[in-house]
Amino acid sequence: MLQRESLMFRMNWTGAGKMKWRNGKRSGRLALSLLLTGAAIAWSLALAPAFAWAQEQPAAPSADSATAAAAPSATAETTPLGDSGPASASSAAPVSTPAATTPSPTAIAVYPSSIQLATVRDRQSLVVQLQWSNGVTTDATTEATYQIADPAVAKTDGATFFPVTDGTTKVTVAAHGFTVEVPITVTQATADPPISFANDVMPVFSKAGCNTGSCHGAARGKDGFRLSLYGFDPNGDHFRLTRDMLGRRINLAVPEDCLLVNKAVGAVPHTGGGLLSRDSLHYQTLVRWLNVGAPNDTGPVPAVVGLEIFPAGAVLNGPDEKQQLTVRAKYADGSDRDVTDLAYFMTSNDSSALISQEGLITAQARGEAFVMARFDTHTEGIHVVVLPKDLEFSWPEVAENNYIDTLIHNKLKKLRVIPSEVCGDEQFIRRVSLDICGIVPTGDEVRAFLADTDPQKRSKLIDRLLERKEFVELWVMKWSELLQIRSTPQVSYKATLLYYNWLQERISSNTPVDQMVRDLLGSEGGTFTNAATNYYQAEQDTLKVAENVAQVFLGTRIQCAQCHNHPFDRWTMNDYYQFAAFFSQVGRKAGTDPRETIVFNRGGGEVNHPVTGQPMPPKYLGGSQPDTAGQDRRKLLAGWLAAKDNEMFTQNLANIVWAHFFGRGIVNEVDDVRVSNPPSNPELLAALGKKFAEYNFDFKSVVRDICNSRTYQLDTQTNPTNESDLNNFSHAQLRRIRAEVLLDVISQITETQNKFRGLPTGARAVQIADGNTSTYFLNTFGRATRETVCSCEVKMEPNLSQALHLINGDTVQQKIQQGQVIDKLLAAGKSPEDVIAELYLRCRSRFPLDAELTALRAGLAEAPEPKVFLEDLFWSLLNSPEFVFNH
Amino acid sequence: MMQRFGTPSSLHNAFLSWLASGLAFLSCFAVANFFAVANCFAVASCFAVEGDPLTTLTSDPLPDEEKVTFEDHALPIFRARCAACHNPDKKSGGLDLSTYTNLMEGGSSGSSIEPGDPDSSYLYSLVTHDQEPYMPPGNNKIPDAEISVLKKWIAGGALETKSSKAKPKKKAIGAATGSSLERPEIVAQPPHLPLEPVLHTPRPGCVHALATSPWAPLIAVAAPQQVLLYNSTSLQLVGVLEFPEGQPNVLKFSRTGQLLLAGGGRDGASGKVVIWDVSSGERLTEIGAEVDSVLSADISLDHSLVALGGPQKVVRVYSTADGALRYEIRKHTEWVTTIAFSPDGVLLASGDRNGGVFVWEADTGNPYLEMRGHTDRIMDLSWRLDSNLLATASQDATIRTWEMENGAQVKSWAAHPGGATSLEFNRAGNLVSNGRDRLPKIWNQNGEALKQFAALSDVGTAVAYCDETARVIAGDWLGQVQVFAEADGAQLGSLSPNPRPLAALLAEAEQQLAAATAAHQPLAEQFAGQQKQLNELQTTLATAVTNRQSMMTAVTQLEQQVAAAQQQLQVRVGEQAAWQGELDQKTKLKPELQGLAEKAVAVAALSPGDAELQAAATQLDAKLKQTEARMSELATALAQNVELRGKLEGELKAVGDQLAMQRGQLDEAGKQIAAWEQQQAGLDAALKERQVALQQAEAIRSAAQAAVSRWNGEIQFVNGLKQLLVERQTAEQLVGERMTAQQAIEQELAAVQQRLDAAKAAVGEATTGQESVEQRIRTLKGMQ
Repeated sequence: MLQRESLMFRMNWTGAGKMKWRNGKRSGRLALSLLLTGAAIAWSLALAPAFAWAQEQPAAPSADSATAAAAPSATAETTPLGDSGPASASSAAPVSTPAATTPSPTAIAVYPSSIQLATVRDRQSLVVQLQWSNGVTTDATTEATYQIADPAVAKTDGATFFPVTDGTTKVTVAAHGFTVEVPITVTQATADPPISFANDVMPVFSKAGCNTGSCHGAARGKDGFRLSLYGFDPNGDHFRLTRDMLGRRINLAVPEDCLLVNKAVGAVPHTGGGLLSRDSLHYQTLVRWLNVGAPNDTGPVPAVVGLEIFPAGAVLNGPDEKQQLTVRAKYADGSDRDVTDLAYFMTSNDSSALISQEGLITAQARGEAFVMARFDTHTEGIHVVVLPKDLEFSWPEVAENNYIDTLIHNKLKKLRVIPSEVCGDEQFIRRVSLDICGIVPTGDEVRAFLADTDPQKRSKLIDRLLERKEFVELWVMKWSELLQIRSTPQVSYKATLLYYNWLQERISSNTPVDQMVRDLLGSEGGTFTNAATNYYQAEQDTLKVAENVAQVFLGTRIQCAQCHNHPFDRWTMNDYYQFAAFFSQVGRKAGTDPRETIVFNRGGGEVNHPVTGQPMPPKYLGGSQPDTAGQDRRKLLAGWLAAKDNEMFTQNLANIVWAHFFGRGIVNEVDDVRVSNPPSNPELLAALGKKFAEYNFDFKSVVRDICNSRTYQLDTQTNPTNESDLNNFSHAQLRRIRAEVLLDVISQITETQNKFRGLPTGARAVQIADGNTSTYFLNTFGRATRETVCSCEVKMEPNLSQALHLINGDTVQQKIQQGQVIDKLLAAGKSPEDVIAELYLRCRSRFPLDAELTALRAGLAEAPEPKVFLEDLFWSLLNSPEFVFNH
Repeated sequence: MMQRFGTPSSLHNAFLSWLASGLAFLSCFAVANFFAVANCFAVASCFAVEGDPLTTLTSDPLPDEEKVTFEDHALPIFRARCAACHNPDKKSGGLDLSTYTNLMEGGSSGSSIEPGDPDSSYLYSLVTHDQEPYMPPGNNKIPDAEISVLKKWIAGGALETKSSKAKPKKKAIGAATGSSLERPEIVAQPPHLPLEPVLHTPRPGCVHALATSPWAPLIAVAAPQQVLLYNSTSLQLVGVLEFPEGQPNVLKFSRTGQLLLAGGGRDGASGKVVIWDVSSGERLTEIGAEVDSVLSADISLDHSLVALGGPQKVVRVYSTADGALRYEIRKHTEWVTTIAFSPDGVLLASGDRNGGVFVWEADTGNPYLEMRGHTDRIMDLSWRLDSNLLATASQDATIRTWEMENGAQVKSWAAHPGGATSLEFNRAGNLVSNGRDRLPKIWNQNGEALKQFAALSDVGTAVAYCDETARVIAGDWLGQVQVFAEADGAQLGSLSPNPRPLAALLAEAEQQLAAATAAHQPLAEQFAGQQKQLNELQTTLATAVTNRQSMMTAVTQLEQQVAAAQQQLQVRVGEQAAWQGELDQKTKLKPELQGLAEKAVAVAALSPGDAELQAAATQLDAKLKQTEARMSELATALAQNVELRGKLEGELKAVGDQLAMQRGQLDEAGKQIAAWEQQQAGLDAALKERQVALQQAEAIRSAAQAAVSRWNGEIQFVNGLKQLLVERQTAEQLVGERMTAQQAIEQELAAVQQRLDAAKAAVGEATTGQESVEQRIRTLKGMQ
């Protein structure tokens, strides 16, 4: 009760509307509502439900000792861990040695492993990383010594190497008694190739941020000057720089005093400020280009084909620890180049790892970060772990139910995080029922489950739930969202229903997903006779169809690449239009029924690149270029897409399933797979994807694996090591129940029925076929309108109007009145206390706690009539965060 | 430093000469102080020379005793760092930092400056990043040196100007009379102007602007920090006008050709319009204080108004009489790229980067017409001389013409694929234009192409037409300016927007002179050698001819001899034949005769007495004897004759041989002479050639010589002019200071006078009071 005062305080200013509504009721109600709804208002107002609920938890302690005993978490304000990176940091091997031993250096790693220097301007910097016995790494670049075997071939300035004459030699790097030899090859040592606009000058604009969307890369430019966003159009940029505004931006007569340079160095007022200093390499590049007449490249220049970022990873020991990065680009002509000074650095989590634009990481608070470098169209990153300084850590023996737990624990060991305890049976049965079937267990089910002593009772429950029809309905609903099943001017209501039925048939018959996708994407015929063709009716724009396919089935958003190369991913405009070309030959003609359209393969039609105007041959996204002659391109694509060896596809589906059960994808959001948003646990994602393929794309098997894992069954209660972890599934997350399920559950508990358009009375909200069918309740709680394929369509964020709707709206109160549950229970001869227990079991899947019971008894005693009091209690329980959240 | 300030003595002389020039209105005390000031100044400059000039400038840019003022110190910082947002057009946060008044008014956050207290000044705390929003936004702090200047300025009371500051005097711009259609009586021609470029760069920049004088063969070419004047006939540089404000973006001659206007500045930083008097090359005035470069400008027919525009999207029209802003036009939604007063001065047309074209009443700025049609930015516009037709060139590739009754489009034609960049109406009413297709063209008013000129080296940026010489001048992005003849389209030459420094030209001329001299020297020597050779040959030839003459005479003589000898021989042969005949006769007759004689003797003997017979016998005998004698004589003569003949034949042979020899020699000599004559002819021709070459080399040499002396002269001229200008400036400054001082003293004097008057009045009053008191005392006493 320690928070009662604050609850009352909150009540005083937020509950005004409710008080008005309840005017004339007895005061006992108010007291009860204070106790039980204050928290509800809290979750809505704080807009951070997870923490709000965690804070309220002690106020309403549960029977579960693990959560009841824990102190309130005071870390709502602490910064959460950001997106995590791949565990590619070889140096960050998990170590569970006792903390007592003093760590000692075990090796040095030198990056890159060889140096190629070509042409007089080339250089290459090395990074030296010292690895310690406890897995920590330190940057030894400056303290290391560098001995070049043949100084006639190459020279060094610190850790940076420059060519002298053609030849090969090696550098011996020594630090802490370890030595590593790095071979050096120098070619064309005296060649001074002409400056290239695309390869030398444009990267300066990218590095300085000139061509970003918030600056001159905006569609209409900035302050009258436009550059192509992230430099997708070098020729256009050259024109705009040189000859667009004749005689303004550059002045070949006085290169150092022209507008471009003056703005860049801040010599004249510039909205973007001074971006280059006059003694920087970037400035020199710019002026060198101007001094030779600002030429454009006369022919194609070698394209960047790859980017490497060094070191491979880092585990930093405490705040302010630093690590320098080196970035190397590889070009199509086989050359490479140190682009550390030209790469744009980003971090996924700057509260753990700050990255300077010079490529220097500075560790901050404990956590992990994916630190990235962008150059040209490429983005690469490394995984950085920041530990508290000289952390003492030992890994307890934690049970592992299956491969999921093993892989999760591997990651947690690396982070020195201990997972929470396993949740109690009450929590489990509620969580698993909601997640698998979108229902809450009945009071009897809870009683039976709690009484069951079978050690396998959890997995048996899972198996039982998987066989229920509600499981199918839940996934039909999820797929309906992904396939945008909704009536539109193009898709008649009849077609919508047929489409929905088609989907339902597939899922209820447990059709493997790959088969379903092939049927869908390769569909031909009338939208009535073959409802799968509605996929091409719901969205008729070739480019949009391609975008949707990529987003839904591959989890990647390629929309950016329609107008410019993707800034944070590897997709270029070529990739985009080559992928879209698979859908360029979809034909549509009217059927006999005016509402029907017949979708067919035209066998002709191309997609043109908007900059070059050239038709783009179809190419799988990130894959090969098939021979499409004489074939239905969509069928080819479906064959490639829905294949067991297509990791993008299998992992994406696995991730969608995972996210459903954890409220968060291994890649999060699930449809935002990109280089700069790596999976928090790539090994796990890979394993799940592989399993999915192994199970022949059977959903149920994957769900079974997930629900049986210890990781799924963890408590929401945190321990000191995992309290700030949001990405690595070291404890369960509080998740607001999604709109349809919440409505269904309220209806289930209150024994009432809903009526939705086109469905019989009593149908559940998850069964709604048409995305356009909705209610105020569903809209308020963020039901997907299915207008787009974005995972963001389903809004899971709590907000004030949701809380107010539950409190004041017509749903909860009306349903309590309609269902007359209290009356029925009392009529069945149950005592008020039995009713209380029944209500608790229905709403919270648990018995009331002693403290709760004491308070309720007191209230009951004060109440003139038990029914009113029990209704108030029912109302309060339905408004409590413990009900609204899945935990 | 020495050059900048001049030596003490030269300064002194300058003052003397300036004094002598008759500025005698200064009062005596001013003159008395004058030398002291001058000396102080000279001494100060000496000190400055001694120290390292750079460190003296930078180590403490603000000597403590110097007043830090808005105009001198703070404004330049505001302009450079803040004016992009806090200008009269944008007024971010309601604050305008372009003038002292507006600054002190403050912005929407209240007052920006608390004079005397930097730390409480809102502006200062934002600039130092003590308070948010940090200024300038998104930027690093402005340099500490500038912050400290602002601090000193505020701490010093945030003064506006130094009270003693002498304002630079602007020269008046005379009002122009006449119309743009008639040639002025006196056509302004530039005087001797400096040819020293302000700036010479490794490569030229884009040609921003070109202009031609309406009445003189004069072309103005824009270049960084300068305007170059070229003669359109000779295509020679005739003057450099300094534009230290930055890059001129627009050039216009006034309608009379009397003034030249340049608008420009530093892109993104500052801009203004500068006006020169063409006939003196003097900068007359500067107009405007933009926070970005001026892109477009023009001056009205009567010189009373100057309009300018640029990235601020505002057309500002100033009065030239006092430099005051007459009105602003804020209807443009984009950069004002081009502005032109109508030739009659009644209207003002302006075009912008959105394709908007407007015509305003020049006097008031009231809207007159709006021309809708262009779909892309307006690059240039030009009025037909009768002011009834306006032509516009746009990035949308078209040139359009518009009438001035309703603003309707008259014609539109795709003139330059990619974009028309520049155009101008000529006196004949034809349009010359340039564009991104690199092809300068001339059109009639119906849009029919009359001529297309050779392609430029890059995108065409500017064009002008010289009515005086019927030439088209076109500039491009690479900095090439080509001159074409309108008549036949011939490319006549090019103008450099990047002329070389005089010193470089001199050095080159000197090098050329050296080269020419070096080339001339061997030529002259060779010529002399050949001349001598020829002379010798001629002498030899003459001798040979003489010799041949005498040889011919000798041959003739010999021939005569031969003839004589042959004649003699003939005689001898004749004689011999006669004689031999006679002898033979005699010899034949002698036996007969002998016989007869013997017979006669015998007969006589027989008839000794027969006298007759005897006589006959004797006669016969005598006859015989005579015959015998004769025979003997003949024999002798024959013998002699043979001998003689032999001798003669010998002689003849000898002479014949000699003759043959002589004849051979003569032949030889003839051949020799012919050869020599040929040689002589060759030599002669070569010599003539050589002479031409020599003359050419001489011409080159003298041209180089002339160039050297010309550039030397120009350099001297520039230096002399520079010196004079420095002197004039110094003198003017001092006059200004003295005048200010005089005014101050006069004010002080007036104040003192006032006080004196007041004191006098007070004394008078007191006296009156005293008198009245005394009067009253007296009255009182009287009463008593």
